[in-house]
Amino acid sequence: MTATTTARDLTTAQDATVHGIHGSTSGTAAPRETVIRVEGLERRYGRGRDSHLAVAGIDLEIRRGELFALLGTNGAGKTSTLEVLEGLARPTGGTVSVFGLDPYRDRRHVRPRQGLMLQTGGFPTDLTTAEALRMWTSTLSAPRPVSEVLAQVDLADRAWTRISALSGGEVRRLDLACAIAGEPELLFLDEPTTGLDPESRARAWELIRALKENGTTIVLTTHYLDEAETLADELAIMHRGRIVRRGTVEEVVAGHPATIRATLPIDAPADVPALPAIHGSSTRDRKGRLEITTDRLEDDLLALLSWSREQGVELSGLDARAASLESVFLEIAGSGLEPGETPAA
Amino acid sequence: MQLVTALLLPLSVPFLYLPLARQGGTREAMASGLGTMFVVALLFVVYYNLLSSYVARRQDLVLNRLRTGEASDATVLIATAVPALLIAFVMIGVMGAIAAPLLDLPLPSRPGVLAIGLVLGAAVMVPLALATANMTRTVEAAQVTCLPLMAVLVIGAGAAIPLQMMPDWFGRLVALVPSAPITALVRLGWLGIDAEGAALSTAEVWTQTTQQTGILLVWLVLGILFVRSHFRWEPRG
Repeated sequence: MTATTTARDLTTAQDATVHGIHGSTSGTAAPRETVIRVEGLERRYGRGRDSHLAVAGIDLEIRRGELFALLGTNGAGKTSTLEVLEGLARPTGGTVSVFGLDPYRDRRHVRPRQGLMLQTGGFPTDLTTAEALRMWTSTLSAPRPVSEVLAQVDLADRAWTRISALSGGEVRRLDLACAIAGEPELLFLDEPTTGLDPESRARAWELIRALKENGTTIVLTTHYLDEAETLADELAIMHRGRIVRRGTVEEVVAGHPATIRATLPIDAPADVPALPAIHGSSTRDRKGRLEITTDRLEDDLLALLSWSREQGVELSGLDARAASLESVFLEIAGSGLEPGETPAA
Repeated sequence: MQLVTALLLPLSVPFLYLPLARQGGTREAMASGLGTMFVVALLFVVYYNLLSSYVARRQDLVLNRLRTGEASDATVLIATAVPALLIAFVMIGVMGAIAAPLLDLPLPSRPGVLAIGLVLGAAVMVPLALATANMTRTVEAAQVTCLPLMAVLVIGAGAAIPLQMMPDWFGRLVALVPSAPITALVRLGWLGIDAEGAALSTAEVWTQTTQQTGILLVWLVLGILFVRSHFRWEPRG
C-alpha cells in the first residue's frame, strides 16, 4: 500500500469512527452492569520481615461505560492495583472480578475484551510504526485495520518511520494505538498523556472522550489532576495503599475550603489598616502575602474587595479559587509531592 | 556474521573429526563425538542464544508488552524460542549429513530414537534458558550466568572427562544431567551401542531409550513448572 492511498483510507476511516461514536447512545439513566469488582484487594511484595504491603485492602466497583480515574501519590499503590485488575499479577489477598471472571486465571477469556496501555513502550525499535502495529494486531482475535487505528491516534504520517526515530509523545500514541486496536470493551490507560505536549494531550483527551462515548469502560491513572477533573466520571485517590477519597469530582472536592490569595503592599506595612471581617481564616506573612481559607468564597471575596477599595489598598496578584482536586490532592499528599508533579492548572 | 557462523560451524565441525577417524578412531567413538557436538550446538544455538534473547527482550520491555495482549504467556515465550530451535535443527541436520559419509558412519539405525533425543534435548534447553534468565540482570551478565549450566552440560555430554574415568557414584550423577541422555539417545539411535561402545540387543536399546527419554522428560516438566510459577517478566527495578 502506498503512502497516498493510506492517507486517504485513514481519513475515511477516521470519519467512520467519529460517526459511529455519535450514533451510539450513552445515557446514564439505567443502573449499569458492574464491569470490575474488587473486594479487600491486598498486594504484598517480598516475604517475612522485609515484605512491603503496597495495596492494603481496597474495594472498588466500576460500571460499564464509566471512566474511572485512579489517582495517588508516588508509591501509593496505583500501578500495583492496576496490574491486578489487568490480570498481570495475582493479588496477595482479596478478590477481583472483571466481567465476572478472574482476570489472572481466566486471562484467555478476559483479555480479548480488554485493552492495556502500560507506562512503558517495549516496542522493537527497528520496526516502523506501521510494522509494529501490524505485528501487534496479528496477535489479536478481532483487530481493526492498522491504518484506521493509526489515523485515530494521529500517527498516519509517521506510519513508515522507525520507532527509534519517534518522539516520546509519538511512542505514547503508538502505545495507545495498540491498546485500542482490538476494540476493547474495557480499556486500562496507565498515565496515557505523560510526555505529551499540550496539543497532543488535548487530542488524546478528545480520543479518550470519544472512546467513552462509544461505550468503552476506561480505567485511567494520571499525574495530571486536571486530566482527571476533565475526563473522570468517578475517581479514587490512593495514599499509602489505601483509598482515602472516592466519588465524583464534585463529591471529592465538596467540603474542602476555597482559597483567596493576594499580596498587600509591603512599603508601608504600618499604614495598612486592619483586614475586613471574614468568615474564613487568614494568614499574612512579612512579605505582605495574604492567604484566606474559607467555606464562603463569594462573601469573603466581596468583603476583601470592598475593604481594598474603601481603604485604597492595592491588591496585587489576586487569585481566588474554589476547592479543586488539586487542593484536595495536595492536602492528602502533605509535603510528599515533588514540585515537578504538581500540574499547571 | 550470524548467518556465516550458522552456516560455517555445521559445515566445518565434521572435518575436525576427520584426523581422528583417519587415525583409526572407531565408529563408536565418532558417533559419541557427534552426539557431544550436537549437545554443544544445542547449548550455544538454543540455550545461550535464547538466554540472551529473553534477557534482552525483558530489558527492552518487549516481553512485558506482549503479555498485555491476547497471546498467552506460553505463546510469548515459545514464539521467541522457535527461530533458535529451527536454526539448531538445520545445523544438526547438516552436521549429520556431512559427517556420515566423511567419517564413514552408517545411516542411523533407529532415526526415531535419534529424533526423540534431539527434539527433547532442544526442548529442555528452553526452560533451562528461561530459568537462567531469572538470575540474569543484563545481556552482558548472561555471558557469566550461562557458564555453570554450560560446564555441567558439557561434562554430562562426556566432552570434558570420559565417563569411564569417573568414579561410579559421580558417573551415575552425571548420567542424570540433561545432556547425558541426549548423547546417549544419539548413540542408541545411530549405532545402537552404549557408552562403552558395546552393541546392544533390540530389547536393551528400547529399555535404555525409555530410561533416557524419562530423564529428559523429568527435566522438561520440572523446567516448565519452574518457569510457570517463577519466571520474571519485568526487569528488576
